[in-house]
Amino acid sequence: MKTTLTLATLLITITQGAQAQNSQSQVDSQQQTRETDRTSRVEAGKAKSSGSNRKWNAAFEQLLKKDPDVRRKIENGDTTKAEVIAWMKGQTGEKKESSNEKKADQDLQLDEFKTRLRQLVADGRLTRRQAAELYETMAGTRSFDDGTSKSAASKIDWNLEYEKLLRANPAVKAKVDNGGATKEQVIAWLKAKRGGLRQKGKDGAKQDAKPPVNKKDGIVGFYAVVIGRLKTKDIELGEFTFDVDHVTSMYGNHWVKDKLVGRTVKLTGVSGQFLDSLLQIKRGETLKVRTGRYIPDANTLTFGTKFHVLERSAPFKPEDFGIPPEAFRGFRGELTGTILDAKGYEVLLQVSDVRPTDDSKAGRADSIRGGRIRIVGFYNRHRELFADLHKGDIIRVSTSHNNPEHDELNVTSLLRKIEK
Amino acid sequence: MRAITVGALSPAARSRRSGYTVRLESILPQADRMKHIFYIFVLLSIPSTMHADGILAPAASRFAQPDSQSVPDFQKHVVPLLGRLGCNSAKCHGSFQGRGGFRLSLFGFDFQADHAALQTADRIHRDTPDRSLIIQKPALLVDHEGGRRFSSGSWQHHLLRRWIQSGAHGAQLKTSHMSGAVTDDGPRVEGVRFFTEHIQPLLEDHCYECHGFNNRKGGLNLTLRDGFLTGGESGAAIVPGKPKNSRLITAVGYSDKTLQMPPSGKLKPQQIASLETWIRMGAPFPDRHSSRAGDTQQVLKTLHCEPAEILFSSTGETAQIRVIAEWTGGEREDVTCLARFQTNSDAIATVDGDGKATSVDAGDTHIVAFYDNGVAAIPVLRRYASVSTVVRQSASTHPIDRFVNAKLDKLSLVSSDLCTDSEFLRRVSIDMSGSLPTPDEVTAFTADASNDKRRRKIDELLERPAYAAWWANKLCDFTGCNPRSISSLLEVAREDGYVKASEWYDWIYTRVASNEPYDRLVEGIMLADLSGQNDGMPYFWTRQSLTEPRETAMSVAHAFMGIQLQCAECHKHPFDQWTQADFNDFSQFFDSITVTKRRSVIRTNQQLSLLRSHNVKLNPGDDPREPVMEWMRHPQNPWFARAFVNRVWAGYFNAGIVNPPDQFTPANPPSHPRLLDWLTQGFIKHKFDMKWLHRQIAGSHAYQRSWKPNATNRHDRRNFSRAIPRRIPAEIVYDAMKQATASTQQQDAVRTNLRRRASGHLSMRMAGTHAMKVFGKPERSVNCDCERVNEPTLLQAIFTQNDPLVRMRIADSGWIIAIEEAEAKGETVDRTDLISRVWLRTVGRQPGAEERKRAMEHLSAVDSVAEGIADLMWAMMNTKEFLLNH
Repeated sequence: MKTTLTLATLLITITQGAQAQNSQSQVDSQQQTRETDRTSRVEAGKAKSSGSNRKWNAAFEQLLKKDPDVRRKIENGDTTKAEVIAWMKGQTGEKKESSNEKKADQDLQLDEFKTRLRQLVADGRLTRRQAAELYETMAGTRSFDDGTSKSAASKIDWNLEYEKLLRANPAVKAKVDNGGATKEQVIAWLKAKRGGLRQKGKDGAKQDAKPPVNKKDGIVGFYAVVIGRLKTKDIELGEFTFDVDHVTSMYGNHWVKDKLVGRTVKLTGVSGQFLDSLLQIKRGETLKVRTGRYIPDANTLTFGTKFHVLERSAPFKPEDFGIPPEAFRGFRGELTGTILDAKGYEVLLQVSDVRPTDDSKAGRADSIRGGRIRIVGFYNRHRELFADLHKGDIIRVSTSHNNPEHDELNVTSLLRKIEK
Repeated sequence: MRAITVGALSPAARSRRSGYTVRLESILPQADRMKHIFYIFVLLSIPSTMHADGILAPAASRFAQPDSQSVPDFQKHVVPLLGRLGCNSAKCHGSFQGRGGFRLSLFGFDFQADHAALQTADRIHRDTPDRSLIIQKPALLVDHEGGRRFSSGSWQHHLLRRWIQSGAHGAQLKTSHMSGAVTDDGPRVEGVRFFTEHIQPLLEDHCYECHGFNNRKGGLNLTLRDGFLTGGESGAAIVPGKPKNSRLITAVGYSDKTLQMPPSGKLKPQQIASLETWIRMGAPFPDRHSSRAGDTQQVLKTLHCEPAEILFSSTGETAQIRVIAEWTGGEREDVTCLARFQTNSDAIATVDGDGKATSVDAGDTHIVAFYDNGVAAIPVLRRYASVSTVVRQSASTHPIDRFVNAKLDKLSLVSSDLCTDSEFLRRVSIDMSGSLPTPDEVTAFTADASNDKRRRKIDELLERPAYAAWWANKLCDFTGCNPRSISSLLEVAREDGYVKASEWYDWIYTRVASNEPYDRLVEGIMLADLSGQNDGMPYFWTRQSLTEPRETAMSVAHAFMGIQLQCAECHKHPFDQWTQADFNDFSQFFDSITVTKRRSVIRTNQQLSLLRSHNVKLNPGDDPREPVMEWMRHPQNPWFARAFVNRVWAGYFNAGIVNPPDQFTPANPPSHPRLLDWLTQGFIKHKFDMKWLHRQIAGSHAYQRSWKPNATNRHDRRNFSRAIPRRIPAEIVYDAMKQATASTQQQDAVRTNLRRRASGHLSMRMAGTHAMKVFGKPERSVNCDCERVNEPTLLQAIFTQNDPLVRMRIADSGWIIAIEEAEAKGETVDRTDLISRVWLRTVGRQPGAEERKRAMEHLSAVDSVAEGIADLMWAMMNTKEFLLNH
């Protein structure tokens, strides 16, 4: 390709010709005018979409009228309109937290998410089935309806399920393409499979606690960050396979991790700008990706549905990804350190100081000093401050390693940014 | 003195009266004496303010003298005058904040609000008109930030003074509109003030959270007076004049346990008292609906201009435009002095404020006049200079060519010759099927000696899946198939959006492929059952981006009628007839479906105006979309078929007959109105047969002309005298690169596998990628055809030179790998043939002798033929010829 540039210059001269250049100049000549016109029209159109904040603006105005303290703070410059609106938005989360103090933070997030979904269903913006699907995406095996109603799950769009299966399972797709199975047969199989799984659930002792699908066999939510080496990729279909080295930031269905690590796994559903990321990653390079679901039959993951991550990464080393040393597991106490990454309500911290509490179960808490640890759960009461955290910031944070088998610590009550 | 033109004129036989010269000789050349006397009698009986043709003389002459006895009308004269003086423009009192404590409705037409504003802002002194600020400020008799707008003693001064002298009455409102309200101006102004000071803040604080802003709980909207009157699901909220009979008072009084509002707590006694007082006053309201033209007694019927067309012949030549307004009552008036004018191209002709047009250069454009709610456009043409030879157009009998050539003749433009076969094949393949022709296809087509091969090729392309794929993609553009906006929840369900967008695409694709009539295709979208029970496409309606009915209304108007209603959301449309009332009524058709995303049926009786065509009565249980669909597909609908015909035309010529294609307004008339009419009527007559339309357009000589200009049409860009080279769309750039580098065996597969084509399913998945952004693929997030950008940019050049995608295409090229393998095996490769194929694959033609020579030299200079061919492919994909459709 070294000679290409010179050659290109020659060939462009050859193929354009004087007349083609003339054509181009004519095209160019109108560009500025059209661009100006287009920009103004597009901007005007986009301006129309800002109506969703009006409600909060109105609420803000009402608050100002009703609460002299808030008004005074605004007038004195102690706070901003954006901060007040953020605070109002956070009120729901605060209330939930106080009423569920004994629950784990993960449950709190899921409850909040479920509440939001229910509100959307009540507003008619989401069907119950869609809400259930989304909830399962985030919550894994937990049921959106808490076992109180299964009617939504029974209204399944089998055409949609069929399309999803084809996209997710190349083997099935190949079979259909080759005439080995018809759409009707596949749908019948899907129905039978779903029906069978339901029946299993009904037979169980704790009927209400049973998920709508069997987590070992059906598609399950698997919200996690998976790290591995790229093996093959198909940019157009938004798919790739990779050799999985590690799984972190899991929310539920931890058993899936064992199905992935050390194996070649397919991931589907990459789209939009993340195709550009995939394009840039070369075969053999390490990548990390946030997943949304796991399809055991095809040993396939789907691309994440929230806080999207698909990026090239340094070759996997446990310590780089914040996997705690064994002597640190079970830690409780305060950590001080520098933020290396802050996304999706999670922080990767380079620890500089460690202060265990009396009830810490870590064998040697100091073993993390100088190392990296991943801390999760920066929502609800920490949501506002988290939004203001950036790479390089130094924080002091109280944590608890609730489940020593997991690689992440949970943030608890304290979060403070320390001036550098 | 002003000449009254009555028939053909001669300078003799004049009769003087009231400062006007009436010439009789020419109309009575042979009349006897008695007849003369009779006609003189008739003419003398014409009022001094009236032309002989029954048209009221212009205000400028009627109010030229200070003692004029004519009475100006607020709607007909005062508001248009304020508009012409610039008072109600966006940068002056028409801005949303107003200026100097005085605010007018933007571009006028909210007569009640404007009249109230003139009074409340103390602009009028009825007793001493000359002390009125409405006179003193624009005449600069006192300080005025806007400067002098007219001179003291001018006709404008006299008109405004006379209006104030005669009582400064507002527009003549329809009594039905004011039913229940106070009709006299004074108390009404007082009532509106009471509402603004006492009721509106109360509503905002306690009611709008649920029944205003974006919410309409129980179907109740309290932001409009009509909302109070029609109420929600439980009935009317108020009975004007009768607070005790009003549910609103019952609700706020907490006397009924089942009806207590606001839920947060009972209002204070004085607040309830204010509500009662307001209802007792008749519930006066600064209602936006009051600005509807139908609410005034006087409705402008037509606005037309004289002459009907202006033909210039030289630079600097001028022509005076006369604007006549005709009202529904039959009155006609010369409103030239009250109209506003603009030119659509000041490179062709300019126009001054008095309607005098001046020729600037050869070409054609329109001058547009605005008055009241009317818009009139006058074609202005000037032949292309220095063409003295007989104009010869291509010898085509195709109806399209007849219309196009007629205008070319008028402009003395000579059309370019027909393009070459290879140019035609590449052009029509791109425009019709979004694909490049294969090398074998080019070879076969150019070798074919039959006369009808172009027609046969068009028929062949229309049967290919690629045709349906490309035009389904375009229909997805128009209808806003955006994966991110149709996902269940914007933030959470990314893949869900792609699945639904793909279903949307497939749904349209299937119908385009089977050539389902266009109106039926649209019906499937318009009347889709949101629960998926019928065969429709519901996602158009369930887009999460459509949060309010007004957004849905704008989307429907844009997608299916090519009209932009946005402006009328806040004020009268400056270039169209639409008022806020029109917009609000149209929005209400989509109220239920937008809010619920589940059902479209309404629950209360409604009567809505359907964009001024007719009023629609809706009963509970009706689907309001049905009358909209029926009206759209009606042959007399001025936009539905026309918009699609125009968009298809724009797909082939890169410019619509109405351009931009989604701006059907009277101020933006078609360049070839008869052509557009013919195509539209033909399209309807052929039962909305899309393939018929494509055949007609692609089969015309107008489409098949060369891009090479001649001496006459070099500067013509809007009369289809030649092809205008344009950059190929983003999806086709992607597909073309892939096709050009594919192995010989894969040539067909890459064109037919729609799941892997950017103009197929990838259209959704690839939206938002760098490649699509660089080449201007629309996000489908706004109602504007302009979202797609086909202009070349520097970034595109960088992309084709360096982007990993381009490198990947060449590195993974099955064709180049095959050459590499052949070389590795020691097989002889035909360099001449390979060079030919590089050109055929990329630009659809054989290389010229010079090009072949340079390419051969390069192949000799590199280590292997495969490397040299890779270089050539890269170079060719970086030429303008590759990236342009020409």
